[in-house]
Amino acid sequence: MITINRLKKTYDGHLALDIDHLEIPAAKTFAVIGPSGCGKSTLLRLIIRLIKPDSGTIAIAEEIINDATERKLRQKMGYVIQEGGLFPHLTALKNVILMSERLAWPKEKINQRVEELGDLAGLTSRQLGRYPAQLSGGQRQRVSLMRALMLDPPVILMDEPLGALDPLIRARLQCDLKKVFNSLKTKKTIVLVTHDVAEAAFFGHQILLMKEGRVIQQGSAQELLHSPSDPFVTEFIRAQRPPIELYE
Amino acid sequence: MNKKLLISFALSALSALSAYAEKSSLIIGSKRFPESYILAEIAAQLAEQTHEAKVIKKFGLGGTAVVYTALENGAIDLYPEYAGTILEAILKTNAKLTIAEMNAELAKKGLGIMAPLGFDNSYALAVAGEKAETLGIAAISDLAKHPELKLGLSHEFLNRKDGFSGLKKYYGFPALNVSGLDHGLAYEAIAGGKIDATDIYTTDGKLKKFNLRVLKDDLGFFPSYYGVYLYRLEIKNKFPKIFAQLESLSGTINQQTMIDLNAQAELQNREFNAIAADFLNDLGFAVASASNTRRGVVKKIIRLTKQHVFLVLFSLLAAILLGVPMGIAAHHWKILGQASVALAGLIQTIPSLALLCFLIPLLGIGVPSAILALFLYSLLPIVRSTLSGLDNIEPRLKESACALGLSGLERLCLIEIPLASRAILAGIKTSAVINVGNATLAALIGAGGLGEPIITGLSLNHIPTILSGALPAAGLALLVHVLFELLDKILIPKGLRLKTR
Repeated sequence: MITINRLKKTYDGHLALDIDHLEIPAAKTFAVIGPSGCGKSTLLRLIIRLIKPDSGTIAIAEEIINDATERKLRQKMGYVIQEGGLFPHLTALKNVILMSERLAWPKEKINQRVEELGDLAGLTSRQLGRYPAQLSGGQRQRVSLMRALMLDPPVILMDEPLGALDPLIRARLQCDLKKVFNSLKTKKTIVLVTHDVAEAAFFGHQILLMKEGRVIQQGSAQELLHSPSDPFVTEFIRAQRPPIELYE
Repeated sequence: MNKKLLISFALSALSALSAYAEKSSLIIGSKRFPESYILAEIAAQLAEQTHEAKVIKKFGLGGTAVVYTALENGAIDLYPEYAGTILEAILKTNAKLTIAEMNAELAKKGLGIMAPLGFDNSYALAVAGEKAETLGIAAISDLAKHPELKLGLSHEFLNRKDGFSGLKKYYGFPALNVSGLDHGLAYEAIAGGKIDATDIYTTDGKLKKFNLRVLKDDLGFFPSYYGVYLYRLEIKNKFPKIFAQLESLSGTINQQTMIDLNAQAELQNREFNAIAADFLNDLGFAVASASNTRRGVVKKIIRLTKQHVFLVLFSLLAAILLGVPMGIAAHHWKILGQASVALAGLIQTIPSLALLCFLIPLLGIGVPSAILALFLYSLLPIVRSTLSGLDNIEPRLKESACALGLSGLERLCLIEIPLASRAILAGIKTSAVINVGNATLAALIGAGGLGEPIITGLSLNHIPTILSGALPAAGLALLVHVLFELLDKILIPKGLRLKTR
């Protein structure tokens, strides 16, 4: 689904990302983990082209993203970040439907989609009428998810989406999120960036472990645990306490 | 490129506005002190009586620089001036020229002076009447015999070439007992016995009231400052009747008459138009006598307030239309941003009177120049606040807008400007309040507004007149403040006014 070739990005001469080749499979959840500064957020921002690579290419469904294609391709990707990134001057609903309105969707289609997503995300239409400042952190993140899903894009990019929430809400949202992803009619290609190994294992069909801008290992949680390619893999996984439970 | 277009558009709009001065009108100017107002008013009423031209008054213009620039550029046709000032400030010569010689020089600039009105408003020294009597002082050279006399001289007189320093050398005075003080305080200081002598203008209306003896300039040091009408040569042919009438005033205002006329303004607080009308009627010119009722005053203030509001609104609107796009451009192109903020900042440092002087050759005196000046002054707060408002938007919100797939223009209009709205409005509010204050300076270049009573009142040292302009202006500033509080509620999106949960 997403194909990356010879991708390089430096900041002020300091190497931030260097990936020779990476395939992110379609219709699966792909978790990217690693210590802070390992380049995992950079990878996501490169995919949606908030930043441009020094060299190399990224293709979404075989279409290379560049200046000419970026707007069209961004509409095929939903992007969720920490604390949601909702526009404070618009109501939750307006945040969700902003792009569909710009694309001149018919009103019925918009309403129908909002209803569908509201059910999915567990938000009432009253809650959707509120401004971001009037919502709780968890609610904001649900709105943000609705916004990302609104255009029914094949790709969802999530950068520490639950990072700013307290543990209880976070746990509940993790379950809900997984439920949402599983209940979608067309399965999404999801790229989830997290520093939390448990979260990665909980969501990820595949996990990518990065360190200092490079890929250390790509595989299932079991593979990372039982056949690490590098002592760092074990070190990183063991660093998380309490010892993780592995989900399938 | 866009900016250039906007500027040229604004300039052409402004000059179109200035076309209101029709060809058949005679524009009379004055400086901002009572004598100049009175002489200009006399000329205006006399000219009106002929019905030869529509007479437009541009009184109270700020200083010789403004009023002369206005005359030179045809923004006014005529104003009262003094021979000494013409020699020193306009012809820039030390020679003592005759009227004919001055006219020959002025003709090269397309200007001329009429025959002298009859008085000489020169510098002079005056001594308290009783003291002069007892000591037997009648002439300036007598001062050398009385070094014990306390001289309180105005700062300007102390510093001028044709003031005290020249006088001392010319008369060969020994060390005298001299101190500096403000001219406005000199009369009270003499009356209170704190000083014995001061410098005065020879037509000062207060001379009589305070019983001062004006010393004879027995060695002839002070240049002559006789009053004349300085005019543009073309009015002689354009308005022959008016010209003849004004020429006929020659010699009608002697020293004592001028002192009386000034006293009516300064001591009795009579309106200039009433003083002028009475004077002309006494001369047999049968002009309509002026009536200044209380209702007339209120009407005048309402008219001036309307002018004031117009000046503020028009210039502010122009500043918003250019300033906000400039701020946006500055946000997107950093170098352009720094340049435009620096430029706007530079304009801000130009003293207002100087800026007005620069604009007179461009747009003449009156409303267009005033609006352009106000516009330039209100640009900086708007550009700067727009820029900082946009710069301070959280990066993740900008990125979210980008990631959604919105175009640059959509991001600007739907996300960035609304998010920066609070800052942009704050800048506009600052400009509006500054504008209300600055617009009082518009009166200095004949653009009207509430500055008019303020500068007239200042020239007369008449507090009620000053307040009649200052209070409505303060009220306007307050109103602007309240208005923007309301605008905040309407224009700043509700979501930005909420406290985060």
